This record gives sequence, C-alpha cells and structure tokens, in this order.
Amino acid sequence: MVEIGIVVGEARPEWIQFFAKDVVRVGEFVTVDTVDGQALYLVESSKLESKLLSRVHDYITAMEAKEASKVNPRDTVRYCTARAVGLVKDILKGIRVYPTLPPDPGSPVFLAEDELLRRIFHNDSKEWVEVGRLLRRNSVTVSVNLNKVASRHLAILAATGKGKSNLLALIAKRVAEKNGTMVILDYHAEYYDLKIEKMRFVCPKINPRYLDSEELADMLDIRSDATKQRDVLRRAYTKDVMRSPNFWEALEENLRNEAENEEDFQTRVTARRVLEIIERSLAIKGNIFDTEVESPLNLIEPNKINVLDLSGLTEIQAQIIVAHYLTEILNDRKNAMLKRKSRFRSPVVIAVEEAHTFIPQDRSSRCSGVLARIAREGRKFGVSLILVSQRPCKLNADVASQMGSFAISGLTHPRDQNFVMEVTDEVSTELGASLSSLNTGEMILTGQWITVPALVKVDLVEEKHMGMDLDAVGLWAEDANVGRKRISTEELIKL
Amino acid sequence: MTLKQLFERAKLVKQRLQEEESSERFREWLSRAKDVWKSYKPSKVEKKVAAIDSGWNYRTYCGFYLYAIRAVAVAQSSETVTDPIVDVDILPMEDDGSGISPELYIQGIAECYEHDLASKVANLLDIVLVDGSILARLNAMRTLSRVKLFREYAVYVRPLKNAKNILFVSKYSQDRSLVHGALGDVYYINRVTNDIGYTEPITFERDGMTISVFYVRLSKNSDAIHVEVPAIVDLEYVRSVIDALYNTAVKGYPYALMVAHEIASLPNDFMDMISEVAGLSVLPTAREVLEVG
Ligand SMILES: Nc1ncnc2c1ncn2[C@@H]1O[C@H](COP(=O)(O)OP(=O)(O)O)[C@@H](O)[C@H]1O
Ligand SMILES: [Mg+2]
Repeated sequence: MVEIGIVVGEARPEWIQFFAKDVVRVGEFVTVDTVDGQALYLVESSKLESKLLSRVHDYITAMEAKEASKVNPRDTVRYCTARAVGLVKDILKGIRVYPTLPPDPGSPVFLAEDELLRRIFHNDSKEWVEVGRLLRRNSVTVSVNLNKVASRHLAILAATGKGKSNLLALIAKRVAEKNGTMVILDYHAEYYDLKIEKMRFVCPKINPRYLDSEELADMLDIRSDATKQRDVLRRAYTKDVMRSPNFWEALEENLRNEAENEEDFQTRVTARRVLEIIERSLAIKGNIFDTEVESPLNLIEPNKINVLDLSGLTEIQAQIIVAHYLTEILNDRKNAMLKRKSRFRSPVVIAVEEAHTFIPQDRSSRCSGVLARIAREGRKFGVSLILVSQRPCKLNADVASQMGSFAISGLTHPRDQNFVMEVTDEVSTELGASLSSLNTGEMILTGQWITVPALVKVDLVEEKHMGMDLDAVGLWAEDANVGRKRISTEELIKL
Repeated sequence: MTLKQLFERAKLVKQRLQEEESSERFREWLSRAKDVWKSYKPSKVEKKVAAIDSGWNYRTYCGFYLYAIRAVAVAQSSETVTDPIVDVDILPMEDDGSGISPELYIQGIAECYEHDLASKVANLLDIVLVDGSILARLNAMRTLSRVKLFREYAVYVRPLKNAKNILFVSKYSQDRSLVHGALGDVYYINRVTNDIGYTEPITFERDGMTISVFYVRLSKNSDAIHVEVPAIVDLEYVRSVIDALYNTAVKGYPYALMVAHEIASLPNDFMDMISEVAGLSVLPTAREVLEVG
C-alpha cells in the first residue's frame, strides 16, 4: 500500500483532513485505519498552497517568493479533505457502515489499491450493468444496479452539454440488453437517430374523446386567455360529440350551428374563429389525434425502448400527452399487480428529459400530479422515473427528494448546487464546489444504484450522435461545394 | 475625547516631518546617503546558507513566570543544520527596581542560544544569518550587568569574535552612524536609492570585538537591510554576500531568515500546551487575575 498522507486537524468519523506528500485529486479514493477497521474515504477537496505566496500582496514580491519557495519543500502544502464512504469489509459485502470513531490524528493515509476498488465497483451479477470507469482510475470499471433505478428512481442533473442525454442513452441501452421496458419522453427530438437495438420511435397519439374541453382547447392551440373561444368549444363539445363515430364532424357540426344560428353576433364570430382554429390545427398536427385508439398504451411496446417524440408540441400539449400516457401506464401496472388484464407484465422505467418543464417547482403542470404519484408510490407498482434536468432548482423539490439515485455534473449556479446538496445527503459542500469543474461525461454517481458514491467517467454511447454541436461551417462548405480538397494550378505545375 | 487629542498630536508629528523634509540639513543627509550608496549588478553564486532565529513566550503566574524558548538553525529548505536548542523553565520575577522585565531576561537567554548555535554551525556553512544586531544586543545586555546572566552572555558572545561568515541582519535598524541624520540611516538610504547595492563597511570596537557594519539592498525597490559582521570585511566580501542571497530574497529580506523565524516561533496556543504539560494550566495567570478584577 502506498502511503500518501497524514491525518491532521480535527477528524470526525465521517470526515477527515490530511496533508498529502504529493498530488492527490478530488475524486480519488484513500483508506485510513480506524478502530472499526479499514475505512474508505472519497477525496472531496484538494488544495495546493505556498505559505509564502499566500502572504504576498504584489506582483514583484510574488515573483521573488516563487524563487524562494522553490528551495523550501515545506513551503508547499497539499491539504485535502475526504469523506468516509464506509468500512471496507462492509462495502465489500455491499453495505455501507460508517466508522464509529475518527482515525487517530497522525494516522497514515493510503491510496486505495486498484484491486480493492475493482472489487468494490465492478459487479458481474445480473442486475448490475457497466456505465463507465472511475474518473481517477481508468482501469476500474463502474457498475450500477438497474433494479434500484427501476424501483427507487434516478435523477440526472447536470449543465447542458455535460452528457445527461448520453448517460440516459447508455442506461436505455443497458435496459434494452436486459429486455426491459422504457419510455423516453423526448422533448427535443434528441433520440431519433439513436440506433440501439429494441429502440422504437413513437409519434404519440391521443384520442380527443378522452380529453376534457380545456385539454382539447389546449391541444387545438386555443390560447389560454381566449375565454370566449373556450366557452364556445365547451358548449359544442357535448356528450354526443364524445360518443359520435365521427368525432370531428360532430364537433364541427355543433360549432357551425352556433356560428350560423346564435343570436349574439359576437358569439357567431367566435364560433367561426374556433372552426378555423380546429381546421388549422388538424391540418398542422392532425396526426396526433386518433379518434379510434382505445388506449395510448397500444403504441408502447413492452420489453422495448419507446421514444415518445414530443418535439413540435407546445409545453402544455406535451404535458397533456404525458399526463395521459403516464396515467395509463400507472393504471396498467396497478392492474398487473392485481393480476388483472394488463399490457405491461414487468416494470416500466419512464425517462423525462427537461423534467423541470413537466414538474416545475413553483407551479403545477398538466402532468405534475401523475409524476408526483409515480415518484411517491410508483415503486409499489413497478413504475419508476428517470428525471433529467439542467436546472435542478426549478424542479419540484418534493418529487426530487423521492429520487433514490443521482448522477450529477457541471452545475455552476449556486442555487442548483444547493438544491443538489439538499436532496442528496452524500454531496457535501466540498464536493458540490467541484461540480462546476467537471468535464463532459464526468459525473458524481451517488445513491442506491452505486455501491459507494464515486466520480465516474461515463462511457460514450457511440450510437448517439445528437446533442453534438452541429458543424455549421463544415456543412455550409459542403453545401457550397468548396469544402472538397482541390488542387490549385500552382500545385499541379509542381507535380 | 482623548482620541481627538491624540489625533491632534499625530497631526503635529506630520507637520514636524514635513518641515524637517524641507530643511537644508535634510537635503544634506539625503545627499550623504546617496554618496555612500553603491549600485551593484549581482550574479548568482550558490552558497551554503543557514539562518538562526529563536522564538519565545511566557506566562506570568502569581510569584513566578513560566517561559519557553526554542532556537533553531535551518537552511532555506527548512532542514535543520544542527540540533535546535529548547528550554522550558520557571523563574521568579527580578526584584522591583532592577528594571529587568521577563521579556528582557528571556530575550537574553534566547540570544545566548542563538550565539551558541551560530558558533557551532559557522564552520559547516558559507553564510550564517542571525536575525538581529549584535551591537544592539551588547548595548542591551549592559542593563543585565547586575544579574548572573550577564557573565553567561559574554561566554556565548566570545566565540563570535572574528567569525567572518556570521552576519547579523536587521530590517528595522535604528543605526545612525553612517549618515548621522535625525532618523536611522536606512530612512535616508531608502529615500534616495532603490536599486540593488550596498554601502562600504565601517568598523566599530565594542567589548573587545571588531564589528563591521554595512547596508545592502537585495531586491530592487525594497528596503535596505542592516548587516553586521563580527570581523573586518572588505567590499569584495559585501558583494559576495549579495551574490549569495539576492536570488531567493523576498522583498529584499533573506529567505532563510523567514524560514527560521517561522520554524522557531512559539505562538500562544503552543504556550498553552506547554503550560498544560507543566501542570500549570490550573493556576490563574496574571492576565486572568486582571480580567476578573
Ligand atoms: N461520457 C461521455 N464521454 C465523452 N463525450 C461525451 C460523453 N457524454 C457526452 N459527451 C459529448 O458531449 C456532447 C453533449 O452530450 P449530451 O449527452 O447531449 O449532453 P446534455 O444532454 O447534458 O446536454 C455529446 O455530443 C458527446 O459528444
Ligand atoms: Mg440533453
């Protein structure tokens, strides 16, 4: 074992400080002996300081101090803090037990050996799947427990471009390998060119008969403040319309009736306007409506990765569709648990991209009710959530606190960092501060899906190309036919 | 209320300084400082350099005091070049009227240790730096002539005689023997010069020792430092000192001395621990008695 430091200052059972001999990076694992046995610690902060250079107040003195500091090895201090993740003997059994006493001051700090970390983070059992490598140990692969994702929910919280969608695609790929059922709510059409097996692309369909008049108005793009138009629609949308074999014709019939025979001139105008709106809506996104489908569930296949394309819809429309789909899925799974007829005989994982638009913190959305219900009691029925968001602080905190596992990276806003620290008890202030300096694909994985919290370099899903910034300049050049390599006359002569 | 009066007094000081600066004699002193200053372009020469310093602290109790001293000799790399000297003891206060405070007494002992270390390591190294002024030390020790320590002090000073490589360095020197101005020499030197350089050594006889005194500036735009060597030295010597020290000087101060100061210092929390180990932490210190009153 390589000794790399010495415990100094005040130590607590869950947290130590040490001076290091040499470079020690945040995310590194170290071990220290305690009375309870060898304990594993995750390095949360690493500070390098020249005592001399810390005291100078101008450039020239700093330059002189630099020279002086070079000749004095004691002037350079490497100060680290590390959080206990558990006793090694228990971690190896898959349980996290913290030491009951801190290590003695002056205890040596050892670098955790690769072999030990491999035994901790790599798991071949069938519910575990590989997602990457330890950020500080390229040779140690990291496995996560899919059963925990499918029962205790997961939140992927990271700044834009840090690899949230890539991780979600990777999880989807792993779920597919296990024949799992997943529904990805794809708000930005990010997954349509993801080519992994068992992936299906679903254009959501909704039967207008199942919508109430307000929802129908939203789906038809009637403005929410156009109360007169909504009133007219509500009157026209009768029980007969709902039951009519020709839904749209019946609805239009009622509206036309009002447009021609209503006494009030203003109402006649409004009814005509509503007719126009319906006509336009059906022309533009008519394919979203299907007056024949029995249940939205028929479009979603069990044991497949179903990508629900929500792009092209307004926020409210997407919320309505999500509400209907998720309610159906939850009900179906309740039936399954009661041994009634059901479509999904095994658990369903629902991934929500841009989760903050579906379950915002400050208000309720059309689908926040059902999402909250799944978060709270989905586990009983085998429905779980993967929430993906770049603005965690805008996420509903109650729902976020139900998440059992987390993947976190690159959050710079203090409010987002605080939010993360509040909902996960394993991301401390020290670790939180390093969040903003993580690179793409580097994430803190914590919670129930991983043996102990770790900084992980997530594998890149080669099959996923979206989310990459598009090469506009290259495409223009190609388009204009100037990007190809051409040999100039001069070069020809030289040849 | 008294604050206002204090400020008024302070303003008077400012006035006096301003008047002083416009006076004829002030200009004379400045020009003398300029005349004695020699600019120099140093070139780096590796020398074995060490510095000596001591730290001390004490706690007064009813009827006695507890002191602790540590004196160290270290290289710029923080390595000790010989075993440090440490001392912890209790002493009764000197009789009232002796004029000898615990500070003065402990400082005297600490200096003995520094001199002891200096003479021990002098033959191992090219340059040994001591924080302070041997002339000032000898003057101060005259007040100790009535106590036993005085004779002991002399014992430790004697080996320094003619030690050419022991340099006493002080940053805030009050010496006025070069410019003979109203304020210390460094004041005038720093006013009219700012480059690396030195003054020619002048010698003094004190207590049977010949002491050379000169000023050097180790970095541009920094304060000159006052150097004393208990031997006769020449210009060549002064230049070689600059060559050896300028490269690692910080704000014109030799780095080894900074390291020694750091390693020797005995801050209050250490003193608390020492008094605890000595079993004295249960006794109220003189200060605590005051606080209760
Ligand atoms: N684990 C990873 N390793 C290497 N590159 C990655 C990784 N994850 C993402 N990337 C790169 O970063 C880009 C943005 O990733 P993406 O998953 O779309 O981020 P986000 O969804 O957080 O905005 C991708 O195009 C990909 O090239
Ligand atoms: Mg994304």
